[in-house]
Amino acid sequence: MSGARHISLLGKCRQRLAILRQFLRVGLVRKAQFRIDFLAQVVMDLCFYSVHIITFELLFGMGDGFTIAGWDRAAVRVFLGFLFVADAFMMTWLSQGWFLPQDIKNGNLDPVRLRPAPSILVYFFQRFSPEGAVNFLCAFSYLGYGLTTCGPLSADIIWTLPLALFLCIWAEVVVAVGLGALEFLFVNSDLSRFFIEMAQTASGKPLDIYKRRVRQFLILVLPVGVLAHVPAEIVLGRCHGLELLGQVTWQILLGLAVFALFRRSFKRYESALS
Amino acid sequence: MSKALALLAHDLRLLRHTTEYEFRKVLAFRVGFVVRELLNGVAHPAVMICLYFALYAQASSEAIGGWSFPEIVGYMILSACVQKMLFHHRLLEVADQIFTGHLTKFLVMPFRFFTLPLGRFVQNTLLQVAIATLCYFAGLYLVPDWWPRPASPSAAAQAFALVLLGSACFLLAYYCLAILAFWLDVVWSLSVMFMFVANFISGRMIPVSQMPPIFEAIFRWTFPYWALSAPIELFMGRTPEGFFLEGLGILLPTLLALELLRRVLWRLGRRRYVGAGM
Repeated sequence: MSGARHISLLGKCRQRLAILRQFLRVGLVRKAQFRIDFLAQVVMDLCFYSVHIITFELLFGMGDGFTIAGWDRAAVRVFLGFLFVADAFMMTWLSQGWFLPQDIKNGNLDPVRLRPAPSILVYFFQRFSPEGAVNFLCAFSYLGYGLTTCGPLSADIIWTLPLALFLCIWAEVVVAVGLGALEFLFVNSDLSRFFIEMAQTASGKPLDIYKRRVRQFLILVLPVGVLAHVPAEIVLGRCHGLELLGQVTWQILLGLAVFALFRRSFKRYESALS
Repeated sequence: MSKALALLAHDLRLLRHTTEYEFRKVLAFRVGFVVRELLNGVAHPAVMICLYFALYAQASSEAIGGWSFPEIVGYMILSACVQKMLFHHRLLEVADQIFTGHLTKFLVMPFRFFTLPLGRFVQNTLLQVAIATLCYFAGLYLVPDWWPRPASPSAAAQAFALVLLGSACFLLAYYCLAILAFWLDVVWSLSVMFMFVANFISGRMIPVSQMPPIFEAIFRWTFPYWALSAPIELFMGRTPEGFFLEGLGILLPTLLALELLRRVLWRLGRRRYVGAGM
């Protein structure tokens, strides 16, 4: 019995990987046709990164030895590195989420409901973007640069980096799915897009600039603080031991709850919601 | 002459109707209205105030880059108000209409297509000016110590004029980018790219006069600077004599150049347009 269950789980994993592989293939074929758009989107994201980098560099350049709520220039570079990685992941795999309000309104989700795979996987991951993958490389390079400006790469940094990256990407999925669930409750409200923008704005700065309760809300409830702030704290050695274990456990449980909420909200969907 | 006047009267009537329908549309979904129209543009200045608070808390002097903390707070509050009034790329659908071939049904009708986006511009401007004014006076009543006040009534009027002209420039710039859809398959990335750069140049992140002088010297030649950072400084009385005229000297020629560019692109684009969509 347990052997059959094991094979079944393995089969499910294989099926989902096969779906992702197909999305990836279709994304590559699509971009092979829209070559100027490919270039434009790469440059667009580089503009986004540049504006963030220049803004912080200008702020730090206003005085010697400036810090922002305990974050010096090198630490902010690590923070920005994670922010860019989270953004690149969203652009690479989750960009379909931007169209959710429109798709609900137009009744385009019927095929998603009918397909034999989880709705979150089939809907949110359907639009693979190769230009996002290129920007992933840029984001990783900047993260690497940020880590090297903090000092020599220690074993602690190398050990914690995969965990920090996992949390960063997990949080990106949780935020996109969680805010998407709002659209089923308030049709045509554009709430998910608005809150994603709010989330990006709030999480684009180290969270120590906010009061404790706001910070806790942004990490433990929303959880946009886990896109960049928490991963940066982990690799910078500011979050370790039991605190780190608790953080990881909470984020995974929160994510699973959010996925369940989305599935429940999806049941409210009817083709003629608009 | 009488034919031209009749055409103008026809366009104005259409503009009034379009504006009215645009109002109905934004008011149709109340949650969406509150989120999109009332809260739009508020988050970023609020976050920047928190960031500046952290920065000023450990600075040795009261002013950084010529700005004290209360002045920066005032700047960010006004930035939120101005940002609401400025036209943004999401208000345009022309690229999608070209891409899907839906433009055809407008082209065969007896009016100029640009009147429709213009109607949306008028609706958005009227609504956002009303909301920004309400928010401004509500804030002035609730937190008068922190709320910025105009240096003089004429400074406020001049700042308002610059914002409106700047917003019109944004309309035309985004429109020109959108109608590149006659040639390109996807143009939203160009608009977003322009938005990122324009946000920075306009001083939405940091007041331009707080940046190194070379930035200010360059940005003063561009319309985004005169649409946000310059009007705010004018409103706060931080500008020299003749600043308003300098702004008009940049904004008016830019407006004319963008309008010319729009007409040329539209004419060339329509020659290519086959109405097939994708």
